[in-house]
Amino acid sequence: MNAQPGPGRTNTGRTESGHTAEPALLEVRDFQVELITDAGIIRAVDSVNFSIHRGETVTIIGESGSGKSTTAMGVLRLLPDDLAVLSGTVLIDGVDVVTVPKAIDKVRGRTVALIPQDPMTALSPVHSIGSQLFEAIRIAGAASKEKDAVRARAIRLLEQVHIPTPEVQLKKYPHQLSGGMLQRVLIAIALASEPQLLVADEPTSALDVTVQAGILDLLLELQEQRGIGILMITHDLGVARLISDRIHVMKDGSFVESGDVQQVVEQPATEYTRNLLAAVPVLGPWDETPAGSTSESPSKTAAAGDAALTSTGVQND
Amino acid sequence: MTKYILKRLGQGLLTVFLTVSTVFILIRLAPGDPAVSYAGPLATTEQLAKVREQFGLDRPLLEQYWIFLQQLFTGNLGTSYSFQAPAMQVVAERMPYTLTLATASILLTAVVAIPLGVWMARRPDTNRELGVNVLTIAGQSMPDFWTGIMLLTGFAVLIPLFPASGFATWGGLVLPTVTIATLQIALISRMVRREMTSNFAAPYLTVARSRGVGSPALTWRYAMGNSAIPVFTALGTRFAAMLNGVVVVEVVFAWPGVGSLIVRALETRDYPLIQATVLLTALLAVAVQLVIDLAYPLLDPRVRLGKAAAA
Repeated sequence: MNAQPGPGRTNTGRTESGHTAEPALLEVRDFQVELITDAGIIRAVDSVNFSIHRGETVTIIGESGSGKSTTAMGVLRLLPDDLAVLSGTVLIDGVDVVTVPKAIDKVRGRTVALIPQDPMTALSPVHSIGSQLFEAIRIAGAASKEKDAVRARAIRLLEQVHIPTPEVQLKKYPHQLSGGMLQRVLIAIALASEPQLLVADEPTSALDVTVQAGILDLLLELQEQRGIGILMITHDLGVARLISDRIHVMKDGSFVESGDVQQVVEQPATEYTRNLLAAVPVLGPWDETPAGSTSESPSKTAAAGDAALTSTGVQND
Repeated sequence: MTKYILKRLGQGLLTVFLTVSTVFILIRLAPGDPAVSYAGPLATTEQLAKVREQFGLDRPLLEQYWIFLQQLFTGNLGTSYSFQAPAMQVVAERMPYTLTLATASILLTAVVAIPLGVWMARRPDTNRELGVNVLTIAGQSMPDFWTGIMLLTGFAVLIPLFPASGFATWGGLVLPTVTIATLQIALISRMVRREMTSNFAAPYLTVARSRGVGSPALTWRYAMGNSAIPVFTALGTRFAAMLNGVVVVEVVFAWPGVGSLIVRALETRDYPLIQATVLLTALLAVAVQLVIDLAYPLLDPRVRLGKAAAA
């Protein structure tokens, strides 16, 4: 891995707005999330800017507690209203959901859908797969509300996410399916409304490595077919590299580095990103000697990186 | 499924048998002599001996137990000393009154406590929720004889809206029902609130919200659907307990049910009547428990499909 520092590229927000041909699916400007806790108010997300267009995947990567999931949940207004204060602008397909909180009801389950972190807990255990999928189809309101039509659409959706014998799966309950299968079901539920934007909050982190690849392949396939925009939240650089067009590196609520995925991976501009890269275990022969700081153990480098970053005071947009 | 029902039925019958056997021994170990209660304090030793012989109390304990077992299997537990009528019949006549009171109380509890608990769970930390919360703690803390006497004073004496005692009219059902339900509503509503609060915080609820599921469906279909088992169990268990006689409330309101009967039976050491009451109420309690167990699979697929999932 080439850990050579690149030129000052910490603020590439402007290149994103170069896509002026069509309006962005998601436009986030000066977005802030303040969480009210017992210890006081914490600014979990501090003035972040990014946008996603049709067919694009934008990844927010960062360590635990960096605010990446809070950003995703805040964009969808899924944080409890009494505990999280949002400010700035979030336009989902042109609808401002920060200024007008009620507006989120128009886009949730229609324009935008969520793929959650842990599929095992993301479905109600006492309701069947079918009933939860049917409900999503009815809410989307696209197809006919007749029972047979809804059922036929449900089966089609399960086929699209490559679930075998969909008729059988409809009758099953979440505890009867594996994590990978459940994540496919959740993707099918997300697709019920023909969304233009998917927010995937660490969609593979709770799954086995072998299953992860299948889910990511599926997301890429769906994106290719439908031109969906994806906001991907991950701490896994492998995932980010595979799926993203652009990448934002997040630390302590702000973006410390943004840019094209290849650029960020090959020429990380900040110590923090370099440490994130170094934390990825590398497969290779035992005698290979990794260069520079990568020789240290991942946890040690991460800790060192934290210290280094706080002293550099990296600027963000 | 049939095997499961038979197994539960067998366990239930064993429970009933052990209960009545324990009671048979305990009442004979307890101080007090049925013959004295029956013949009066002025009876002579000869008269007492005659009464004991008449009731079969002069025989060895094991022989008495053997007779009791025979009675148990024929369903005739002997003649009540104080009523001079078949003990089972005396209890059976009182049973509908207790059943009525218990049913009315549990219905009132469910109808008030479930919406109240949901309401509290949806408005945490507001002033009104705090007020209701304090009221439920008060309801939990008031002993039912005190609640009963306060209601009697208020709504039967000062403002004579309802009869003070007995079950001559349906109005007589109101005060005892409210008395019992006060405590139960306080307990159950707090439980509903706790269950709902934890389900509101569950990941599947956030995910359901993210796909545009509306607030009523989130509350009732999802959070309530997942809270149903513990709430239903609590209601069922409390109902079964009420069938054993709501002793204090029945005495306060002179309710002609099993609860006031057992008090009288104990006072007079009426062994056959005590045994008949215990047998019937234990049978009913076991039956209710069985119904609750059989209803679980309807409420939770994980119970229903326990075996299918493993296959």
